[in-house]
Amino acid sequence: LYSAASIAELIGGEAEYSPRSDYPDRLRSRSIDPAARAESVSWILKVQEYNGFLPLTAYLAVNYMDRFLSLRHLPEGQGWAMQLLAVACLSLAAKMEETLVPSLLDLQVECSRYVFEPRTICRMEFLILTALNWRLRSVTPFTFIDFFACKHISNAMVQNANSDIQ
Amino acid sequence: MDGEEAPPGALNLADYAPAGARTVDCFRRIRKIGEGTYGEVFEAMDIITGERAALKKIKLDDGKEGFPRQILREIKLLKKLDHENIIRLKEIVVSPGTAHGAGGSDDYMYRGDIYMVFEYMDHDLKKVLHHSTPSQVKYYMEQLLKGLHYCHVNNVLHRDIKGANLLISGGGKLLKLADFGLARPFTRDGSFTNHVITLWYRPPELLLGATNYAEAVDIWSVGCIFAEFLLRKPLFPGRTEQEQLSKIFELCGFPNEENWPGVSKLPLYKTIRPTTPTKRRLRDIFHNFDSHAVDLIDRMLILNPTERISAHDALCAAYFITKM
Repeated sequence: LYSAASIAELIGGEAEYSPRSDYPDRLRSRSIDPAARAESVSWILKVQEYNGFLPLTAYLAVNYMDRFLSLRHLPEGQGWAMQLLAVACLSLAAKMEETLVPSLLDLQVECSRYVFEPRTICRMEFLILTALNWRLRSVTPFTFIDFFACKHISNAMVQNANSDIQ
Repeated sequence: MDGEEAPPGALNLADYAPAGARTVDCFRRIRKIGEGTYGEVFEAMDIITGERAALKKIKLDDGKEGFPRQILREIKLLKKLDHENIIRLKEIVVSPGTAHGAGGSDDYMYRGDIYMVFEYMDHDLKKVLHHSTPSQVKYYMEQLLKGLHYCHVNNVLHRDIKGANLLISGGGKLLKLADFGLARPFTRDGSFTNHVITLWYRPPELLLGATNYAEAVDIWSVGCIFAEFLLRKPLFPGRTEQEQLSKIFELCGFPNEENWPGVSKLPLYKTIRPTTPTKRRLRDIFHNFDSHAVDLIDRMLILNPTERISAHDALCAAYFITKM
């Protein structure tokens, strides 16, 4: 799968799938609420564990959330908006990666403060998809692990083949 | 659950109109060309460039799963696959900004339709399947296998290869695989649903209830299409799954542990009874055709999926090396 991709393409790709470069500054200056973001990340991790999702699914959900936050403003002082964003990002990531995806209501079992209707989540998913320009196949640390693992295996195979010949 | 519902309509999508996103108003609709699971397909023209395109409308039905997973997957796969024999997804556009409802509290920016914009193709393979010359057939088969080989190398199974999903353009010179709505990435040990592939082109392992299958499912479908090209009629036109299996066994012989190790462990194996004759006689119905073509069909329609020829090996077959 990664045979055609070069490491340079992956590194270039990673930047394209990252939040805007001023995003860390905006978190530090609190123009984006870092506490609300941290709460959403820990909610995503909790649901990932509860449903036995892949680590990649949680990573992608946070990646979508950060990219969305760096591009768009959420209504201020509305806790539900950040929670809705987290639910929709996790739902999208699960649909991209998981074989079995729980219903949107089951996905929110671990969610205490707000429960959103599927149609509301669907609209939020749509917003995220358009904001991210439908680019969901992010280059992640997992991509790099697969890339190097593949390299290593194929190198080992070449070495084995060589030693067989000798 | 002790949570409170989010206030309805509190999320005003108008505030978030995707900056610079193109809407379906960038296209002039020419005619309806088809109907898919998730909505209609239109021929349209890009108003600015004059380029023709096929617009596949995706209806969001506000169901339980939110944005349809199948569409997400199709978009994901199409963005990953870049090959001259695979349909190109040019962009995704949304319906224009008309408010929903008559001024209720539930207004939102978009009606909720999205459109996948594909390159335009003249027609599908179904139209030429029963009247193509032997050299055209070879040309189509080669492109079909090239596109499929590229999918398989990238760990994607198409899972719905049939005439209607193979599109033709350039005066019959170009063939592309389309409709990846059922396609999905695969892993060696993955387990899938067996309710895929249109009945006539469905391989015996799926009809027998296998949930662990691989690239060979697509090759069976290709073999059926290849045979249909020569015969100018469907090879196995079954009306029910039971009848489909009978028609396959009639020509390919009855499967047993000898010709297909493990077949007796498939969920539905016990429900089938040998029909007479049980010997393979597939070649008999092709006695007047190019022997290289028949050899290749024979290797594509092997009951045991692990012995079925791969797309790569099929492209190296004598059929493609000999000139007409």
